[in-house]
Amino acid sequence: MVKEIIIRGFTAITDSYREFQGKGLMVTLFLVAVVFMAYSRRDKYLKDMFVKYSIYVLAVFFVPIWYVYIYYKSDYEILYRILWLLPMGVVICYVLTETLFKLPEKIRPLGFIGALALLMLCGRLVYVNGYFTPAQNEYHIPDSVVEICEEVNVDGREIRVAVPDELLSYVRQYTTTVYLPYGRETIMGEYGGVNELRDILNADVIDTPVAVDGLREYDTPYLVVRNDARFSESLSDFGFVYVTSFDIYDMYLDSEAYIGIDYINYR
Amino acid sequence: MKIVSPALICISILLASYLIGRGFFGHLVKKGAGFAAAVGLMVLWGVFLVISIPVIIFQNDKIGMHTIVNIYAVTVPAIVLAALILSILKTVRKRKTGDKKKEQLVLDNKEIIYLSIFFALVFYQLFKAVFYAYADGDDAFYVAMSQSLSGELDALYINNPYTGVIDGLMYRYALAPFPVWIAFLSRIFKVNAATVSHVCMPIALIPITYAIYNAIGEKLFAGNKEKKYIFLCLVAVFIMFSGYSFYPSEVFMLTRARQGKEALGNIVIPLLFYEMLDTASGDEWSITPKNYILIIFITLSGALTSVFGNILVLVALFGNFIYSFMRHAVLKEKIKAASLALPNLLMLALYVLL
Repeated sequence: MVKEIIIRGFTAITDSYREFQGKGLMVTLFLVAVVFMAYSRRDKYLKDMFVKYSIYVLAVFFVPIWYVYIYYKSDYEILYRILWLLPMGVVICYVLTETLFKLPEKIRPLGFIGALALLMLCGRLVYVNGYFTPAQNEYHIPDSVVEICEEVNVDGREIRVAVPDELLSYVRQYTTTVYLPYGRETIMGEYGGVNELRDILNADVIDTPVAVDGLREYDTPYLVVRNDARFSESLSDFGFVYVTSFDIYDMYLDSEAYIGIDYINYR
Repeated sequence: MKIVSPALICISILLASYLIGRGFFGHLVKKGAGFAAAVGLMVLWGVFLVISIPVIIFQNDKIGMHTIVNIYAVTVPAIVLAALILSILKTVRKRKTGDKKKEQLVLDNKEIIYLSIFFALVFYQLFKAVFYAYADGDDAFYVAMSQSLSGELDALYINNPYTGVIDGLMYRYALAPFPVWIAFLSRIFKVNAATVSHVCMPIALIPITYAIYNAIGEKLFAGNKEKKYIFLCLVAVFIMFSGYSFYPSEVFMLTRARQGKEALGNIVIPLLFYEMLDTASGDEWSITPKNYILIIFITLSGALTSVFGNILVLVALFGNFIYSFMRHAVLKEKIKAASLALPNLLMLALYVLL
């Protein structure tokens, strides 16, 4: 068991460090800056805070005592946050600034541009990834989600809606009067759970009677699906009537469900 | 996009923080108004933690979110008012004694250029934070939690934010009630919690981080403005190019300012580092009374933002404690350094016991 704890702990910590290091050379640049500080003639307290403190933080991160935590706790991946204690930005930028001032004043602007280029080359622009999109509204939530929530809203009570996976994270950020039969935890892989209804609604061809039973079991009168979703049988044959569409989504309402008002006739 | 109400939230946070920082920690004004705001924010967060934790633990039919709102909504104006009175008294006293030293900010062309580059970089970051949405799955928990408490729901951390069903008290999250603070703002200003989280938080918190770096630059370069502004430009670019991995705290700063861990990594930890740097820079290692109180508020803020924040703050404080021995600090100072760990140890004890 001890051997297993050591192997698993060591692997997890080194993986964590590697993931923190990522694809760039910023961590390497930091380590170079720390070494530079160690051999430079700076104030002693600065060397202590930049060099000794950084070594201390790295030692805490790599100390084998975490192996026990890793073995018993599933949330051990957050240990990388210990590395947040490393004063990376301060040390790198301090060393670069001091280095620039060793240059003759005339070429310092060029040195400044070089320092900026070095940081850009060692890192990677945060905004260059697929997760950033122009905000559609002041909530930073897709318009389709806002429209769905406004459509199903019933004053003074909660209402439950089943939505496609890509909308699970957004619905309850906009309003928590809308409940979900299953939430984001079902798409979190090993950290989440499974939900039968979600599996049914994510099938290539949705088994209509089984899906309807599942929705009723969860007291879910509204179903939102992508407009290209395929059903084994028509939803209307099982009491779910088409309400409206938003963007690429179609909304259905269970005509047999009581949602506080005679909604179908109301519409 | 609605502007007035979200702008009012940001102004209120920054103004209240600044007034508190200036009033109670007046000497810090020399390090800039932004730094005073950073310090004041620690007081706002620390007080919020002290009010909210007992309410969360002992909540029942009569005690809940409304209790936190009622107490905090009275406490904060009272603290701000007290800070304001203190500031006015200090100013009057200074005028009476003829102490009118006010440093004029005179910049040469090079300094203006570097400062302009820095402000342009920060403005760009704020623009991206406000007008671009960053999809992060964790928002489904944290923002939804703020959203649920921003309405009529009174029970704290009982409902599963993913679905809405009642799950029982989630202590793992309940002991770091940063989303409740956002919910408080949403309730008071009647702005959707999603807007407070996604728009107001970056506008309020990103400048605070830079104010802390500004103070660090001031400390490192002892009044050399050109060096400081170059340092700030480099820091801004360093932060923007921290996308080499998903895990650096700076990534959280530019992508998820609404989550407590962002505040931990980019406000609490840098401010704690500044305080340690400040303490270390003296000829004799000692923690002044005001710094001691400030660090206590930083430790409380660390607990507010994340449960793991308790551990990170303790690791930093333990390093500080060891350093007090290396610097041959007197016993009283060592005891002071050790006692700083008490708030986070208490929070961890609560976490273990509950």
